[in-house]
Amino acid sequence: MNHNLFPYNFEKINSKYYLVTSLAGDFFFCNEQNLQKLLNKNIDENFSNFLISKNFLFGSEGDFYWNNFKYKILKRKILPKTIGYYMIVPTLRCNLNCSYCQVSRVDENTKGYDWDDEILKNFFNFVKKNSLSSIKVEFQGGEPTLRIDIIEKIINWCEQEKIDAEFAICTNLINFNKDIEKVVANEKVHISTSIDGSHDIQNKQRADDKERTSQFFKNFDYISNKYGIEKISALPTFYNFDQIKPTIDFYYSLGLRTIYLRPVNFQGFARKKHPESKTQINTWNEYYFEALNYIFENNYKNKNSFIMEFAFATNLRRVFQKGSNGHLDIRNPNFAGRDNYIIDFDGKLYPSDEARMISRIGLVDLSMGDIVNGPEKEKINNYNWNQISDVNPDCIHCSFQPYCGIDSVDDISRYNRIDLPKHKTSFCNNHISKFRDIFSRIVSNDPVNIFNLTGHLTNIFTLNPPFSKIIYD
Amino acid sequence: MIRLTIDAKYSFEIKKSFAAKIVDIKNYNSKEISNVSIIKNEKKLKKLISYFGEIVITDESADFEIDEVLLFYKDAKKIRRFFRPRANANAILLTEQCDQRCIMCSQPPKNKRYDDFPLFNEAILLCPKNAVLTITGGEPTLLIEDLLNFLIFANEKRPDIFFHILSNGQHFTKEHLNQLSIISESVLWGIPLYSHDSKEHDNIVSKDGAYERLFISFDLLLQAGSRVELRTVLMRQNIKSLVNLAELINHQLPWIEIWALMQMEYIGYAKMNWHKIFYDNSEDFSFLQNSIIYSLSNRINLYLYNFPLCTVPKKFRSIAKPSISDWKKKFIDKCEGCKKTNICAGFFEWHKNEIGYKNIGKEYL
Amino acid sequence: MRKTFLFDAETEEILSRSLIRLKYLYPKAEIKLENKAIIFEGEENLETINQEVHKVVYSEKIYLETLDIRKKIFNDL
Repeated sequence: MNHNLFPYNFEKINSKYYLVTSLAGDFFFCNEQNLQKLLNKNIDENFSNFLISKNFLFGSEGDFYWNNFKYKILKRKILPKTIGYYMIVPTLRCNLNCSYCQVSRVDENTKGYDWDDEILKNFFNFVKKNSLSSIKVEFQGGEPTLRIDIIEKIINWCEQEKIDAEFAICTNLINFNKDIEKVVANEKVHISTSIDGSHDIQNKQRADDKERTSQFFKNFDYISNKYGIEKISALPTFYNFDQIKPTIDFYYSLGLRTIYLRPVNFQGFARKKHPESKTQINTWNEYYFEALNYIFENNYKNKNSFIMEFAFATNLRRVFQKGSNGHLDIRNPNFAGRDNYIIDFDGKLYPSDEARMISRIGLVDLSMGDIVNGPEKEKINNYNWNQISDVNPDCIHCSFQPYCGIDSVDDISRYNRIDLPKHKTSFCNNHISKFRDIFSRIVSNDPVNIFNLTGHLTNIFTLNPPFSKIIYD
Repeated sequence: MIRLTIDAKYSFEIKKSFAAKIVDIKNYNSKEISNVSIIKNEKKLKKLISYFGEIVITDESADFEIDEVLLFYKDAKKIRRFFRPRANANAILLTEQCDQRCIMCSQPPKNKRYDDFPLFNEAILLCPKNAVLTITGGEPTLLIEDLLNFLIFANEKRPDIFFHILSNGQHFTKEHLNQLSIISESVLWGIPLYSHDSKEHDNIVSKDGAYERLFISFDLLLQAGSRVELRTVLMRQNIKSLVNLAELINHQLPWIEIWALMQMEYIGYAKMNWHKIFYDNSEDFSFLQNSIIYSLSNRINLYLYNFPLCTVPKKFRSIAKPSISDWKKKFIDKCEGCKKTNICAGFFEWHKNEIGYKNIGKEYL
Repeated sequence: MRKTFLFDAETEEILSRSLIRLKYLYPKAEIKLENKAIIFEGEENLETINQEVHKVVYSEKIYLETLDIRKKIFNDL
């Protein structure tokens, strides 16, 4: 076979090894000497067999290796053609007033910030027109349970129309009455809530009212005892990074299975009350990786109660599981109006939750039509032109490009522009450091890492590695 | 065990083979009987009324269903059951001829063919909506031209019908690309690959060059957008290198729809070679675990076929399918009182406890 | 620091593209291309620049050598 190389990139990963990745996302590690041989095309039979087995070489255009390679690229890019995910904001009103609120909520008694009947009716028509038989619906807010009636109507409608739907309600769980429980009891309904730490921290950062915070934990216990801990997932928000380990311990004690470690998001109220969140990515990274090691060690020691860290799992799956193209935070191309919509309290359509947040504070209007009049095609297309990393001059030279994503909204929210050199952006730095961490762990040969890599990929924590023969020596 | 050919007595002479389906007598008027319908007479069906005359079933155990499709052969006494709506699998045995001699073959090659495509064309039109049919052999693609024509016919007239075709993948060529592409949505090709290593695979199928020829077919199937179920029967010869096969699939066959790891059937060549080849996963699951974890991590769609649930660790039971066709499936004495029989693959009709799994039974669940 | 990196084996096109990219990545540094040599003068750490210059040049090399393939693949998709 006449050997030709597919497009690839490389990156130094530790003192001994370089990471080499192909455009299709296959990868291996080798030392500097072998990398030089690869760069100079000085490939002997041994190396050639290895490269063929990893799909880095092909014989001729259109041969089996070529078609395979194309398939993998396609698999990493393909987006569904129908809307499979709706994020609905039935009300922007909220009964709490957290300082880091990203969505600029309004007071519980304010009028004019809820879905009305016309929006609901048009939503049903929209789903019939744009979705197939299976969808996911997430309720955000404000506090969505303030309009439990809307949530119930939507669930009932889906059942009636024989649409296979899964529901998630993001709630502060302060109020929990019979009406809310009736909805939560439905096996298709999952709850997502915020737990920043044990009572004192939770109270300080959120309700600032000991009674309401106690009520929160009472409700949490009630639901997890009656319906199982799998019914609820929680995530913390940190602006005091020393809290991280105690909060992780608290999550283990509650039996929670996942955690999502992220700093205060630079949106909404946080922009005024937590201005440090704009540029704190480096400090955060230090704390984040220390926390990750802490979780990994605990998982490895406990062997019976595991916590999956969501951000790590998301990026990890982007590496190993071609086709993990569902997370708006990290995918490429990251098109709006293809497989998901955010529908705000006023019926306006947005490409992502962050987009609605920055539109609300008046930074830029990223709405793309509304549920009554339909999507605005031109706006969507203009936005989408910038959501492809394959044509970005920085991304094309990055070894992690096949796994990474692109997010104009994050750039706009921080820098008011989308054309900064990528390595100067928070998005890029965040993901590069996550991918470097992932690949360092892969090549480390450390059982704690293997245990957690496998666990985060399959939900089964074992020492069987998720990879084989990845080092060329 | 359910028999698929039934003895019968006819009140008429079958001059030409025909296909017919069973309909409910309550909904039919005798004047409306067409030559394609057979009316179910009584609950415990012993008499069928057809356009041509009466058929008395002499097989005591036969229990026909409404919407079942039957084949009547010229000059033959037996009725062939083509499609049974309640069955968990409906298979058409096309031929017993094969150009490979796999060491664990459950259907050793014979020089006999059972194809009658004009008759199958008739029968396919009578099948219920969304019917799934398996086509097996021997090697069905020894008749590849006729087979593809049949599949194209079915795709055109009955696009709702789905075919699962077991083939050794040795006979696809460039000339078939167009047809393969037309039928790509409605056919799942079940193709065996026993090892990442060409010599190991060739030895198991007893044919030099089989591996290389198979990969030429894989290329064609990929180009045609075909749906492939890769099948790997586990045996002592390939269990240790299983994770290498998983790696090959990940890098070079990521487009396959299913990877089925299969336990052996104690019949045919497998029975002959049993003590040299059978791998008892109830004694040691570690090699399997390695490959399963690797596959799940890389999102290879992996299933275990023909594994009794008690021989599979709890965390993997969700991928063990009740795969054994009902007509050749049984449970054994150790299964008495087990509550999982409705989701367990069970055992093959010809399974013998003394040569089978060491650690089976409720206590391992 | 000031250092001269010689890339005898690489083409003009690769080196001139690398020059542009290096200037974009290090706007404060003085970077020149003379014959087949990239001359870098700046405040940055030597080890970092060593690695970075080589990475940029080889990255451009791979990109140019595989550009045709990239085009064909994306054309098909």
